[in-house]
Amino acid sequence: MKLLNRVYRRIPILLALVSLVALQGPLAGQEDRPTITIFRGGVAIDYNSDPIITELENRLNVNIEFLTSDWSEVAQVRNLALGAEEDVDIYHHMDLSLQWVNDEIIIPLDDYITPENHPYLYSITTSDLFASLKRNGETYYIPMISHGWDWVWAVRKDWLDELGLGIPTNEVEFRDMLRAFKDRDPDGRTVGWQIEGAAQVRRSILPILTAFGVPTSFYDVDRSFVIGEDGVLQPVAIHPNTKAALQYLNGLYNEGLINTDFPSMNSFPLLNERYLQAGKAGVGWVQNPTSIQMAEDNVEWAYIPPFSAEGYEHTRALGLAVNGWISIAATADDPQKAVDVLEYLNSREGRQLIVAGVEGVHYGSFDENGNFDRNAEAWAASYNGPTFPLYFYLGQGLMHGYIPVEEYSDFAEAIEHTVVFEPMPEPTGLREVIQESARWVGAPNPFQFADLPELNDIRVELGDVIVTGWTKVITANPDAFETEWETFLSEWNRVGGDTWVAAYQEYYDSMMQ
Amino acid sequence: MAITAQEQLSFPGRSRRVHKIIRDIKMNKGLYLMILPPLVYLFVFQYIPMYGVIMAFQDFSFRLGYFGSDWVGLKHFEWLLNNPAFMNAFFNTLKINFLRVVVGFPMPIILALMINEVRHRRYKRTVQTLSYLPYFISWVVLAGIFHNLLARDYGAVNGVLAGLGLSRIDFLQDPAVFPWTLVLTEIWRTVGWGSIIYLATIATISTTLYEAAEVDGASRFQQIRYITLPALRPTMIVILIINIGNVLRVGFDQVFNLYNPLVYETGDIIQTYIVRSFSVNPNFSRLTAAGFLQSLLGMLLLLGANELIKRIRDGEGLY
Amino acid sequence: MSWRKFSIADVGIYIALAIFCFMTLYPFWSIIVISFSTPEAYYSNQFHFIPTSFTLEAYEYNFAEPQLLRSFAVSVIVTAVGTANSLFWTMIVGYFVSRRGLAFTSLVFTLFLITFFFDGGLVPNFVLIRQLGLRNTLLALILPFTINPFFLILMKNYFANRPREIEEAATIDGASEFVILFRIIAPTAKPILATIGLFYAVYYWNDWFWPMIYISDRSLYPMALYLRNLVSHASTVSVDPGIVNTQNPATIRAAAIVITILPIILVYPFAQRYFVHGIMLGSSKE
Repeated sequence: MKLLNRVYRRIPILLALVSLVALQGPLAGQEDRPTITIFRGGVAIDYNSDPIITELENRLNVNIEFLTSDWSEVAQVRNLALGAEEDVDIYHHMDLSLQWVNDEIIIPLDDYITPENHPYLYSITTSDLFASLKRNGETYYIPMISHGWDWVWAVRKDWLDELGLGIPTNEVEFRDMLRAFKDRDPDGRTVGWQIEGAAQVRRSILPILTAFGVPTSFYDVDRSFVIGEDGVLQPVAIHPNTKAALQYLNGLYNEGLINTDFPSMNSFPLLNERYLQAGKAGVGWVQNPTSIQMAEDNVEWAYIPPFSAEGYEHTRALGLAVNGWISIAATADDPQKAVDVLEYLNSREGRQLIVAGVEGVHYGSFDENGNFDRNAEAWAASYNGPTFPLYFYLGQGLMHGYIPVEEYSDFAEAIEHTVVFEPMPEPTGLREVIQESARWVGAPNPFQFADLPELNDIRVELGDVIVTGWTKVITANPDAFETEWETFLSEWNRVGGDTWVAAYQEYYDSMMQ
Repeated sequence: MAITAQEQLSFPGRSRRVHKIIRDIKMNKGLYLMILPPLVYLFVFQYIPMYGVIMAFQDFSFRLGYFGSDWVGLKHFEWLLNNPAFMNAFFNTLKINFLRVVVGFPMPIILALMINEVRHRRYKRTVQTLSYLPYFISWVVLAGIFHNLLARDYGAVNGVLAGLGLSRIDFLQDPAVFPWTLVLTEIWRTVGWGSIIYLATIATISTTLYEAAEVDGASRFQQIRYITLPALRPTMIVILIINIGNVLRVGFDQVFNLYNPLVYETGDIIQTYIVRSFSVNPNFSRLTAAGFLQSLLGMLLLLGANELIKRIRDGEGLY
Repeated sequence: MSWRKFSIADVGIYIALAIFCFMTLYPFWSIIVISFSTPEAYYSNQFHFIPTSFTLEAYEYNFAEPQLLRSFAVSVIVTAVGTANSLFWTMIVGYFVSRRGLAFTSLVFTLFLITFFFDGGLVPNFVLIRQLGLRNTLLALILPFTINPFFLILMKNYFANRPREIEEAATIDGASEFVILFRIIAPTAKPILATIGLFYAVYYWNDWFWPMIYISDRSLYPMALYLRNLVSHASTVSVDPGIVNTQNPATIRAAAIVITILPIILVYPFAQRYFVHGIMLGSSKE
């Protein structure tokens, strides 16, 4: 009897142990199809059960899997995949690396891309825009185009109307507008303009930098240069125009027109929650404001177009909204299949699937302008609530539409004619945003693609120096501005700014020959 | 059990030790049998993967792998120790964690003592449960909360300071203040959890001791000093030594989520520096070397602290 | 100690503890308040101390996600089995290394201590798990973590400071080591076992890192990993600019946090039962 009791008491444990062993992941897809594994950070969907991905798998006759991790650990997990020789087919990159090419981790793609079967890939890999991407004359990285880009300088139209103001056309009007915004709510902590934390400050202040004629880069200030007429490079980070722009910002800061906690504001979502969404800021450099949740109702948005500061001329920021790169791994079983999949993801048919969903289920049909009639219930059932749009994971960045490469032989021209897909019957204002956004982006930064491994050690410190220097300069007392700037310059020299510029100069000179 | 004098004479030197070993095992067969599975575990799961450490001494390349990459000896260590940014991070780590130990070590003890003085069981239980709540909230979430509380211009704490007529403190952006922000918020977060081990130890003290002391006329403080604290001492020593051993390692989540470029000079720690530089310059060997350095120095510090304590306190310590 | 009069010092202590509890409660309380707020109320208020709205939307949204319950089950299993496993073996090893003077105890302790500091790194651990066929299984979340060196040290310290008379008495009576350890020593070590058990339980419950490495199938994610994905997408410095419009609203995140934290917080009151004052030492003279 006692023995039986003992056995009974142990049953829960046995069950638990059994479940431990038995609980494995469900069989990954069907056995008879090849599997394409994509390594990409930040994938949060359940790709085993996602309807669009399932449909995609059926059309292409592959199983699609993701190897992913949260963004903050993506570097570690990627090293893991490499070091442990995981069976990855496609890699996403946020940075180019010559090391991967030299280490033969990824393979050249030109042999797999043909104009008949792969019009998009052929067009983009033979375009002049990305000629500097090739390594040893071969294509290793395919850029992810985020045209149909949606970053804009958004301003509260309802506040403007209330105050009887128009959209500012120069830096003086801009400042006056900010003052009016602040005075509108003096006791609440409304600022005029919200800007991001120190590490990302270059992104937020892009509209002002460009107003002062600084061709800054959306991603990397350290690799942005002003090319003088004599072919001499001047780094954007310490350029006199930059100084003027930062001095202007210093004025705004000291008047309390921008959020004084910006240096420690590391989190973009937190910034938005604290200011823009709470109605405590009137201006922000954000993505697609029409989809931001706001505290108040009846919020209206307008967009400030680029302007020039007095005595300067607006220069477009560099970086043709390339949101990353894709490569094919050396461990891929069937590189041709992987290339075919990539091509499909960029074809009209593929894009319609990814952006709008399954035809007949999530939508009825498309018209020639790219509008489609979304079935709201079906869509909500599959994608109930805030998740990333699927095309985000499947490699195409933020593109809300399709690039018609068949109609335009030049890729650059094709981009200009991106067909934006918009769900009807409620236009979200997305097209307007995309149009506004297009005013800001400029040509790719040729130096972004340069790979100079001997500068890697300098790069770490230089990045820190720039970010710290700019922040200190903006937050300095007005009379201390000059001294802070001087300190910044000497820091720049201390960590090897001259060596840095010289190396890029050499690179540029050799490119020009 | 020591061996007898007779055995001592019969088996000189080394074989005496071997004899002792065999004797120990024979006398405690079950014990040695029980220790075998954990040793297997140790070997398989902990020691087999140790080969990864080799990367710190190589110029690791994925193509060549662990066994094919070039051996470079101490090159990465030299680079790290000569790099001013790394050394700055290194000393920041030491400073911040040293502060943490000095200020933070007594706190859980004091809290445990205070909780122990509470006589109402319900109040005691409630306090205990509430005290460790912050430990469960990750720094990712806490950073947002602290940003709200500590911001210079509209944070709650500064609101109180200003209301009292004091000047505002920039907790998150002033490099002179930032280390204290780190230390104090971390203490706040872990003091409740840290007191648990002390409360558990106090629970094993016999109440008869206290009763006897009360009868002898001892005051509350005397009771604490002569009964409670001595009983806690072994645990305190162990925790202290471990904290010293950890002085180069802890803090990443907190610093990563709270720091910003304005406070790099005092707030950048080894881990955050490594992560930041790694994302720009992915040198795996250097990354491993930095980790190895932390581990090695940490271990030496722990052993050193252990030796020191053994001398002061006659035989107590980790071992 | 109920004989003592309630003095000023006691009042001071009670008040100090109350203030302290207020400070520690605040963040969790604000998260709870946020979890029951509407998004609009959330954006309108800087502090979330006194609720200004009430809705169950966030919880409904979370529970509608089937993965949440699956992750919960995974966490419960891993925590329960993991804690039992770890406690069992840590007790054995802890007792072993506390027997100073016995052969090999020092060596074994040193071997464990080394693992407190040194680690082979991600890749070797991962390769090992893969080779053992444990990838994507829950065993991978339990076996490698059987003995935590820090907890082992605490266990050892406890045993080393316990009087040895009981064991010696039992040995003379002819009991085997198994019996001594499990029938005699363990029951008297309830406080430390409860404490270390609690520590292990919290460790297993909260760990998201190793699950992220070893498990690629989302349906096997434990709560901590599921939660981290939810929260991190909106809270960390983002590499990718595409985050703001599609973040999980704060209320949903807050509800998920509450759901994750609540169970493990409640384990301690349960374990407190074992923190009983000196019953067991009645048997030996002090």
